Amino acid sequence: MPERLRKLVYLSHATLGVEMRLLLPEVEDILATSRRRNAESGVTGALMFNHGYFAQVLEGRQDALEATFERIQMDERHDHVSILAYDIVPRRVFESWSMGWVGNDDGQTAGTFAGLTERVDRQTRELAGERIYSLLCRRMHDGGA
Amino acid sequence: MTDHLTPDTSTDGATSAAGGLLEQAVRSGSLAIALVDAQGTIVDATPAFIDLLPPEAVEAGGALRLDALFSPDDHRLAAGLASDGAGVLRIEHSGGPLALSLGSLQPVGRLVTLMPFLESPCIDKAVSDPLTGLGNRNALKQILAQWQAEADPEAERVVLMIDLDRFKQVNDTLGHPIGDDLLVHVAGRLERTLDGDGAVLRLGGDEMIVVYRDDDYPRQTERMAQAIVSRLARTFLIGGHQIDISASVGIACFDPEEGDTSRLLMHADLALYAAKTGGRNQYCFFEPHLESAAQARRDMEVRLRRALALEEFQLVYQPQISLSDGSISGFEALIRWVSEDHGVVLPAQFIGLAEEIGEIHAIGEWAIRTACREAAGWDAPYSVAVNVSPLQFEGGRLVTAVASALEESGLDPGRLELEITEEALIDKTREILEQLWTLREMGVCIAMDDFGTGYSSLGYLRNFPFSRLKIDQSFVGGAPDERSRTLVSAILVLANELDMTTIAGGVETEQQHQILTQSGCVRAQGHFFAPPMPPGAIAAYCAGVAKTVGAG
Ligand SMILES: Cc1cc2nc3c(=O)[nH]c(=O)nc-3n(C[C@H](O)[C@H](O)[C@H](O)COP(=O)(O)O)c2cc1C
Repeated sequence: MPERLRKLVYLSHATLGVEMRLLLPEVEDILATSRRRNAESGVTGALMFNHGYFAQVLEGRQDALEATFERIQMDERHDHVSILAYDIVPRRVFESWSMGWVGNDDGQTAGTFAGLTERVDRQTRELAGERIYSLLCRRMHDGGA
Repeated sequence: MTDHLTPDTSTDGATSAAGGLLEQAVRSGSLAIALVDAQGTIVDATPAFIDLLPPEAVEAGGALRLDALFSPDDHRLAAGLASDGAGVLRIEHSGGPLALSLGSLQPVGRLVTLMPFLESPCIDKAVSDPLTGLGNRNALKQILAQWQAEADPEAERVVLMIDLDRFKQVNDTLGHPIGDDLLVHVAGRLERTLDGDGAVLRLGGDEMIVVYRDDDYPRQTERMAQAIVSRLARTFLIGGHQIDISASVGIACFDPEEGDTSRLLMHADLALYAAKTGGRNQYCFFEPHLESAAQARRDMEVRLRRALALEEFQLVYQPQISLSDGSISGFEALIRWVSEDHGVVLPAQFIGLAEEIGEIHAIGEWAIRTACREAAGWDAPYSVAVNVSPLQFEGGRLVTAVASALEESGLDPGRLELEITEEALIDKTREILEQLWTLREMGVCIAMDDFGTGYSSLGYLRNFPFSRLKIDQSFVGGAPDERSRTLVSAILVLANELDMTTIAGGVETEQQHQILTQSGCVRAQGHFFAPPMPPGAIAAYCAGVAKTVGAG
C-alpha cells in the first residue's frame, strides 16, 4: 500500500486558562512529548498557541497521524477540537521539524483566531483552515519558532 | 547455512519406508521443526526453522543455538531444558509472536517446533470479544456472579450501558471495516476514561457497558457518565474519514436484595432508552417510573400490533375550504385508533410508537387504501389528503401501495394528495426524491406539511416541485401577531412564485380567516370551518355548505 500522506489542521480551546505563567510549563511539556513521539512516528508539523486557543498542523502517514490525533483528542488540556482540514497532500511542508512551535501574541495571529467562534459554518471553516495553515507555514519559514 | 546440518541418518537404523516418506515430507514442507540436544544446541532442523533464527544463533564453531530466540534475561528455555517434560513458550519475534513447543526429552534429543502464536481460543474467546479485546457477555456474568457473592457496604456497584447514537449510519455509509475500527476506538476511549478501576465490556454490536464500584455515589458516577458522553462526542479520525457520533448512557445500580441480575441490565437499558428518547448525547439514571412507563408502552405495543386485524382504526375527514368563495375543495383524512382499553387515541399518541415498531408501514398503507376507497364514493370530486410518515419511504413499498390503492378504488390520481413533512427529506434525500417523482408522474399531488416549523430549508423546495405548501398552524393559531402575519405573507409570496398552491391549518377564528383571505392564501382548514367528521357525516355537511355558499 502506497504511503498516504495527509495534512491535518485543527483549532482547540485550551482548558488551562489564559495565564501564561501557568500555561508555559504545560506547553513545554506538550512540545517535549510531541517532539519525541512525532519523531518516532514520522509526524511533522507545527503548534501555535494564542489567547487560549491552540492551532496545530500535523503531517504524516494516515495511520500515524490518526493514532497521534486520537491521543491528542483525549488530552484534557484542551477541548472543542474542531478540525479545519484533513486532506491528502502530495508532500510535506514541515520536512525538518518533528514539532515546531510558533510563538504567540502579535496582532496578526490574534486576528486570525478572534474571528473563529465555536460553531463556524463549513465555508468559514475551510477558509480559516487555509489561513491558519498558511500562517503557520509562513511563520515557520520566517524563523518564528 | 544448512550445509553443516546434513541429517545424521545413522541415529536410527530402523527407519522404515513409511518413516522415510514422512521425513522427506517434513524436510521439504514449511513446518519449522528442529531436533536439539539436551543442552539446547540444534542437531538438525528444517529450512523453515532456520529461517526463523536470528543471525546471532550461529556459534563460533558453526553450531546453532536455540537460546538465540530468547532475550538474555529470559530463563524460561533453560528451565524447560532442565526438566524432562514438554511445554509451550510464547516468544516475541520480529514477524509476530511465536509459540515454541519443546518436546519431552527422548534418547535422540528433543523435538522443537515454532508456530505463529494464536490466542488460546477456548480460554480467551469465552470471555473476551475478539474485535476490541474487551470482555464479553460471559465476562459480565462472572462479574455479576461475583457481585452477588460478596456484599460491598462501602460502595454502589454501577452499570453504565452505552449506545452509540449514529453507529448505524457510519456502518451504512463508510462500511463495516470502518465501523469495526470505530468500535475499537470507542473501546479505547472508554478504557481510558475508566482508567483501570472496573471493566469495559462489549455485549455485541455497538452495545458496550462499563461496570465499576462507586464509593462516592452518585458523584463519581455522574462524572464518569459525563466524561463518557463528552469524550465520545469528540471527533474521530479513522481510515481517512472524519467521524462524528455521540453516545447515550443509561445508569443502574446493583441491588444485592434483588436475586436476578438480569433486572439490573433491564434497568440500565430502560435508563438508556430514556436518555435516547430525551434527545441523545446524554446520560440518565434508572428510576422506578421508567419501568411502569415501559410496561405501559409494551401493553400499547401489543394492542397496536393487533389493532389493524381487529379493525380498530378509522379515518375522519376535516374539510378544506377554498378561501375565495367558501366552497369545499377537499378533505384531509386523519386517523383515529378506537382501542377497546384506551378509547379514542389520537395519532400523536401512537404514530411514534408505530414508527418505532415498524407497524407504520401497514397502518400507513391501510390509511391510503381506505382514504382512496371512501373518497371514490363521494358525490363530488373533492381532493383527499393523506399523511405519510417519513419512514414509509424506507423499503420502497409506498409507491406500490399507492398504485394499488388507486387501482382498487378507481380514484382519479389527481384527487389524492400525500402530505409529507420536511423531516422526510432530511436524510437519504435522493432515494425519497425518486419516489416522490414517481408518485408525481402517476398524477398524485405532493404537499409539504407543517411548513415553517422544521428546518424550512428552501433547498427542499428547489429539489422537488411540491404542488402545495401547508402553512403550519403555529403561524395561524392564537392571537394574530405582526411577525407571524409577516411570515405567512412571505410564505404565500414564495409559494406563489414557485407555482405552489397554499393551505393554512388550524384556523379557529373569524379574524384569522379574514387575515388569511386578505393575504391571498388559497385554502384553509380548522375548527372555524368544521372539525374532523366521520365518513358518514360528509354528505350532510356538503349539502349544508352548498346551501350557504349558494345563498351567499
Ligand atoms: C494542543 C496539543 C497538541 C499536542 N500535540 C501532540 C503531538 O503533536 N504529538 C503527540 O504525540 N502528542 C501531542 N500532544 C500530547 C498528547 O495529547 C498526549 O498527551 C501525548 O501524546 C501522550 O499520550 P499518552 O499519555 O496517551 O501516551 C498534544 C497535546 C495538546 C494539548
